[in-house]
Amino acid sequence: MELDQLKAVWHTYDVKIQKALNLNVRFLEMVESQKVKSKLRPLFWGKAIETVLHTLVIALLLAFVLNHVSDVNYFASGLILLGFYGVAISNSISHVRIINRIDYSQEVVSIQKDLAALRSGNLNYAKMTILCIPTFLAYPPVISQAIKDLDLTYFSAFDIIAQSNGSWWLAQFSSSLVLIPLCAWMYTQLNQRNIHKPWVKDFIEKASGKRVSGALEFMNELDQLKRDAA
Amino acid sequence: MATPANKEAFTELIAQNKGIIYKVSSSYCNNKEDREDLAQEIILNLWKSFPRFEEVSKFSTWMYRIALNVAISYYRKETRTAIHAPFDESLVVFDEVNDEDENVSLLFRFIGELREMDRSVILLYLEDKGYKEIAEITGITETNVATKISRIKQNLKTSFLNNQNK
Repeated sequence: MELDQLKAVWHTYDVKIQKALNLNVRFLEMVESQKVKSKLRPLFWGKAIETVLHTLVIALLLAFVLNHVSDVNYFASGLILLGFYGVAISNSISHVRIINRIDYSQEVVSIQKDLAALRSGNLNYAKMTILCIPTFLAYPPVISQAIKDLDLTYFSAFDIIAQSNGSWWLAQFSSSLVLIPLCAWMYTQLNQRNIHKPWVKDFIEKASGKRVSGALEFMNELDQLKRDAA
Repeated sequence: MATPANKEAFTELIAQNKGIIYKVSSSYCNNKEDREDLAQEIILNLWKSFPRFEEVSKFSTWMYRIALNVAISYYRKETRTAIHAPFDESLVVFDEVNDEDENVSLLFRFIGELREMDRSVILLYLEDKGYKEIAEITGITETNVATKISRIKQNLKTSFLNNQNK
């Protein structure tokens, strides 16, 4: 059957729909009387709280770094953690922005791309965890020094640097040297452009679920549409 | 703000364009329950966006954008979360429409097999929307719309042929 014939069938059907469909006006009045809440509101507040918490941690880390400018070990450890939280806060802020600009009356492609980006939010956490691996060793010295700086006598026995006789720094430096480039490379690889690579798809599905890889495939399809148009 | 005047206008416009809700829901959902849930979600989003509707664009264009955006989002959900509460009855009574025409049923089935953006494009094409309006609604270029329609036409033709030869 040719599409023109289908169009004719479709129009006959359309006339039938208009005659036969009953609009439940009572329901419509009920819809109108309710304050319709966006399903994205809880997500917005979650991301807003996340942004505030990240800001708080960044402020504390900034104070720590500024307080230890002359001590390169603590300064570098603080900077590593600042870098990690910098990426985390930029993710939270970008999600808050996306949620705020979503308006279903806009073009389908742009809205669906924004929604797919939100749906792939779990992936950001998986990526952040990878990015965070080299920073794991930076937490103990920063926390232990911060305890000293704050003069928290209750935890005064907690001095990991003293207890490791200085070998902590060597372990941290060497593992960071290996892990930072490796994890940064993985971070850049795990996105929708590489979803065709089996290891990327496999990692994403295991780390954040099939729903996320589906969203990324859809984003890829939308990107393809844009590229075809260019 | 929901004033009695815009409530009345909304109801009237929805009544005039109720077929859009039905056809979009039917293109994205196979079963009756899902279709009804989707139709209600479309109406809720239309109502929520109605205060921002500007008459510079046609109501049907605006309505298609919202309906398709909601439908694609709904279709992509893994688990359906019905939005019955606080409403306990259906907006559109689907039982009233009897898909007795085999070609229409087949058409919906074949549309259902297309990718989500392709469904939107072919649905708008069947609705006699021009390439320009389809591009405005979907956000893809007119050239891209033309290419897509030609490809989908071919796919549908093949699907009908294969069905006839069975």
